[in-house]
Amino acid sequence: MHLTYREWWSLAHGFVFGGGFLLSFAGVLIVIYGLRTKDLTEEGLALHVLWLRLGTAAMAVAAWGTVLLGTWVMYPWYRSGAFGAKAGLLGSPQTSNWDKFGMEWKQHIAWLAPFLATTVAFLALYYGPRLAHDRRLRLLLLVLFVSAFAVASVAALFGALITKMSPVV
Amino acid sequence: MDERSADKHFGPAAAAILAAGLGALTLGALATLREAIDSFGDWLAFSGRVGMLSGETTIASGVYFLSWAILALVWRRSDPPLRLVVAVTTILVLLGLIGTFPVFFHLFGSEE
Repeated sequence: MHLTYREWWSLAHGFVFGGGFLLSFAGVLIVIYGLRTKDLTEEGLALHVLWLRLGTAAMAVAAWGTVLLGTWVMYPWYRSGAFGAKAGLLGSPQTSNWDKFGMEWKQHIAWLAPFLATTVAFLALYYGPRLAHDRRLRLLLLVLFVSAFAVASVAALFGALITKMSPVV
Repeated sequence: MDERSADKHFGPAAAAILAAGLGALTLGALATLREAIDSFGDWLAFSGRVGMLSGETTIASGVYFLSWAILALVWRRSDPPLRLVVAVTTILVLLGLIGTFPVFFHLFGSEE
């Protein structure tokens, strides 16, 4: 298997950072769901808080890595050249909306993910064990966390489909 | 960080939550404004290779971190009402989502 220079960067953007963010979601979601004092011993609570802090921090880093690489490394390649990926999509009325709608939405909505994910990581770091005692805070954390995942999922879906339609090579 | 978190103020957390909403709103507002005002769109192209997205995301990120820092400083020892913070943030994020939706912002200008 041979990957070009741009494909290696694409792999880092979509698979390592983006895929890492999305795949971590289920694990961290279970940690948040299980973070209740009535279900945990003191040692169990400490371990849950540790996993929550590590998991949310890693997801925040992954979210920033995804959008920074996507915007500053991948996107210039996507939009460059008369035969680039963007030009390829715009060249046909049947595919132009993948750029005009798909790429435009993806490149903007993706940036909400690091804002929300960083806020979630901060709340986990700041409150820690209190999240297990305070249902309202835990619910707030959960809503922000799921929102970050939702916007990242939209971006990932369009990213995968656009790459399928007109890959950056 | 102090693990005795039961007595922690909500202010620093509220600052982080509201900052996310402000970052989202900024991104939505810039995406819409760049369509409505051509010269503003040109100004947003901080990087020629990236285009307008470079300015939009740089400014939105700056607003996110700066507003977080300022609000955290102002609210470091206070407890703003959680419901109000959540309600305002929800509205800001929704406005940000609307502003970054192409069908909406394309209403304001000609296509690129």
